[in-house]
Amino acid sequence: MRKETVITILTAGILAAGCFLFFLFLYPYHNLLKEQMTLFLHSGEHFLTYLSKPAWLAGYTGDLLTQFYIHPAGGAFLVTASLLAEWLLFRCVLRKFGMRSLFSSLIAAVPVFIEYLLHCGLHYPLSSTFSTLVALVTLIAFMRLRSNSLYYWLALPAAAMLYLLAGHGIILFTAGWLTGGILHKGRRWYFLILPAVCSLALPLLLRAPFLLSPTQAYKYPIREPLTLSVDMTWEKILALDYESQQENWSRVLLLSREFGMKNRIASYYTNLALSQTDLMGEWLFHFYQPGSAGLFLPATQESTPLMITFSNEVFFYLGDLNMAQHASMLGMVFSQYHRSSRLVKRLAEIHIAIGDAPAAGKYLGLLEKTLFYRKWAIKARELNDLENIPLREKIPSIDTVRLADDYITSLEILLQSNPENKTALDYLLCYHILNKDIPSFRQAYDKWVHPSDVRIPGVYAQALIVSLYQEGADNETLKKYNMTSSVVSEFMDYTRAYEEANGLSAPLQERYGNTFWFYYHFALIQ
Amino acid sequence: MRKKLIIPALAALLLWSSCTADISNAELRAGYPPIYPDYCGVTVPCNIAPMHFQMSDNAIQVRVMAEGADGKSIRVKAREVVTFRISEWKDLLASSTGSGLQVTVQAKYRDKGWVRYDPFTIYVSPVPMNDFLVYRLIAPGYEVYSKMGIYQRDLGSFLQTPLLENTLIPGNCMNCHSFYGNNPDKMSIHIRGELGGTILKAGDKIEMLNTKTEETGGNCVYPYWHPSGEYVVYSVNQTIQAFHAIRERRIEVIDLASDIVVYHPQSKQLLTNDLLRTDAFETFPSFSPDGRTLYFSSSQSQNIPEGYDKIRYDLCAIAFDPQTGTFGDHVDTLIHAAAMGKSISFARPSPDGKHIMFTLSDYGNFSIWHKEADLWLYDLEDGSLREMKEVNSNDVESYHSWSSEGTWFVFSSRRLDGLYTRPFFASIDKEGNITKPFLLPQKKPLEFYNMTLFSYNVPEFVTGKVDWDLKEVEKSLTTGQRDKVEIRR
Repeated sequence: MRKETVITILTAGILAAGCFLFFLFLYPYHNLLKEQMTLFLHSGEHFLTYLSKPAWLAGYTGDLLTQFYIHPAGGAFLVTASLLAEWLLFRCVLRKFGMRSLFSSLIAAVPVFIEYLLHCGLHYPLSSTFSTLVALVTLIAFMRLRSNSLYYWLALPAAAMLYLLAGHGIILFTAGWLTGGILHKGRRWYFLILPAVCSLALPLLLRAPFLLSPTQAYKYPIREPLTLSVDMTWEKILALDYESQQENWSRVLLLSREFGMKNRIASYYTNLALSQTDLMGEWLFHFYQPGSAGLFLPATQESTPLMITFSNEVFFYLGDLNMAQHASMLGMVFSQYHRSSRLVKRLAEIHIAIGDAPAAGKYLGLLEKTLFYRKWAIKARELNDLENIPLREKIPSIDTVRLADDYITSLEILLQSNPENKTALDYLLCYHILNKDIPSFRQAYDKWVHPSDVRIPGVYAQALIVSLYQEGADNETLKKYNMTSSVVSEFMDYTRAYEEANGLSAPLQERYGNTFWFYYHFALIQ
Repeated sequence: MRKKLIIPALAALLLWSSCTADISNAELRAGYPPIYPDYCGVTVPCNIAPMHFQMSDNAIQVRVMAEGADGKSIRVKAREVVTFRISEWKDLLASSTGSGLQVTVQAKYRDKGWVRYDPFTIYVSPVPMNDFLVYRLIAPGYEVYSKMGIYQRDLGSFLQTPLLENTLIPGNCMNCHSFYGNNPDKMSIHIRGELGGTILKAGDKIEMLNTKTEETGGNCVYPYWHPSGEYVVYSVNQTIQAFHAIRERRIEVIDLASDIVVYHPQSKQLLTNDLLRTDAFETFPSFSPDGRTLYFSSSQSQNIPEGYDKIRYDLCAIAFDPQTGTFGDHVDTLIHAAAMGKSISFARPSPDGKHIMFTLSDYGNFSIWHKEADLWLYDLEDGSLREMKEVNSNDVESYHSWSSEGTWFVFSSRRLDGLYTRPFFASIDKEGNITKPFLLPQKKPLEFYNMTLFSYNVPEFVTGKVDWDLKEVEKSLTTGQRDKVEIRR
């Protein structure tokens, strides 16, 4: 074997291993999300849905394999393998163009590197890489044609077929065919330009029956805006999202601490984890808080699709299942094919908890047609018949109607129906605290918290002492609220320190940075 | 060589005997077979697509014989879906028109072997229904939209083609569509969003309108064509979407204000009347078949949202003169639903002008999410009211429309899974007899309806295929040019 070949193979091997390890250990959550946002069903009807748009083969194969992203190793392997295949095929094409071996290997790495960056985006589908692979295979087949007339006359039918099977790959194929015709087959460019133009016009001509806009027609099966970068901010957010779904609440808090992100979605998951570990009243200000915006994510016209997808999580744990259903359905409509395994699963859970067996059955039926959710769905069917489902107890029994962003009414109704709903209580108290709305906090506290011997969680005590101080409460009242002397003296210390700091936050940051008092004076609510 | 032939022959014989030997001994079971969709005893028009079905239990094999009145029959063997060839099905329907098909089902079970059920009848009406159905496919009941479209389905086959999908105009929402007397040549569709406007199609001509005026304060929303084709009546609604807390109810869409206007395409003018623009909520308008009466729902306004469950719509009427485009001087209340503690929406007069079909719910106008919502019939001749028990279920029955001949009607129901609306068809004869409804046929009905995550919304019959130049529509939408409409007093 030539030294050059050995170097090439070794380099490619090392880069492939690096790519695999990168997606396995450093960047697994993007791929996990992509799996969750598709729903691949093993059924004939499902296959037929791919025929309503171009890229039948690429779309179907891509989604079929995206199921295996459910494990980080599956995602890492498939992305690496497809990139490697793409590099080999590009290299082969460049060699057919007459490029030297080492140079062709280097040049072939350029589009593959771009493809790698695209895979680091939030929505870039595997089907797009398959579109490129199909185009390259077709191009190589063309380059092998001995007959020049076949090379010429078959181009347009092949391009049409390619568009139906692989979508945007038609652009690459046509560019390659034109270049190959000039370099490899020795044809004059003006002789080839007509079929090339016709091929490139095909997406425009065929877009009407597929109901695609001109841009979509050339990009299909890519549907989302493309990004060309490794986005570690999103990777961290997705880590919090994924671990929350797995109910690894301690890990969410650890990761949140480690990341130290100033991001609304990160706060959203951190707060959810705090509530589920019963630490919301203690540690709320140990993490970044963008005001009450860090408690809920809105599902409105202004929200991004992923915010809508994530917004069901808090409602689900609160027991506000109508809102959770609303957010899940919207999230699903915004997913790539308007089907999402994660959200179908969530909708099944919601309807099981509601006790709506036919609706739950519909979603479980879908999951039973999948490879990896089938077992879960079969097991969940047993729950469908159960009466005692813990989440059901949280569902409000008192009715009202509220707007989608009327969180206070939602929380009040949850507590009216079930005063033991600790998650709802924490969210209500923290909602007022994060809005610095002391009177509302006090009102909610008096209404829903029963003074007892139990110690008041730190953050609530800090807010309560402010309220009591404002009304000039006496010792008797402080005692009634079970307010400890340490909280009172710490509050006095803070007040003195605040006055001495002359409105500056820096002198107070170290000692009081994690208190409500510091937040009250210095945080800017978004 | 002989051995090579004998073994496959024996295998084939064994297979044949296993398939046939025990069927004659099939256990007889009283009752109709459990099939999906439930087609037992339904009445179908003579032009309906093949009514494929499948066992909804764990049968592993099915044998079906569908026998026509003249003795013609189709025999089908299936493992899953019982499918009829379209030509055979059409022949069978043609020969059974006015009577019915008798369908005998034998099913094989792993534990019980072959079971033979009581034969059931599919009655075949000689009255065909309109050839096409137009509907919107949309994720259930939400105001933020990503994917939706308006589609037409050939009712004599399984072919569904899109009229418009919002992939062409991303981020925009397609509202109600309406046809002039089930005529595919004249239609109106309202688009909401950045590229919003009202599409008005008359023959090959496509107009884009901006129906929002300062005086009306909003766009025209729910349309209904005048029988002359010279007018389209719309409601102008300002709505909010709100969510229930309890598990039994889900969503409300509540009018904050709503009025009624009549659009005159020829002059591009909106006709209004103070009686249709009061402080009360007026909505869901429709014209009588003679074009001289305008029906609508009307409710006293309430404080929103706390008074949401006190909003109850009566069925009202006002005279309309198509010659002059003027309205009567008073409003009649035909059904005082509020006094009954009920609310009326979607009043749709039958083409013969004898009945008005409407949806009756406990309150409000978003009956599509009211489980108690049912279809009712108002007799315009004697003023009597009748619940359409033959077609109602324990779940929602809501939007409905008539086929042009006035025998067939289609309605939306959530009876299958409580979440997604599906179109059901039934007929009513001159004596008022209503037939058992049937679900829109599909190639693989169970798989299809279980898999689809979109609701069938606003099903409307049309007599033929809607033929329009999609590129022209797209161009009209994306150029942003809209004809302004004016108010005529």
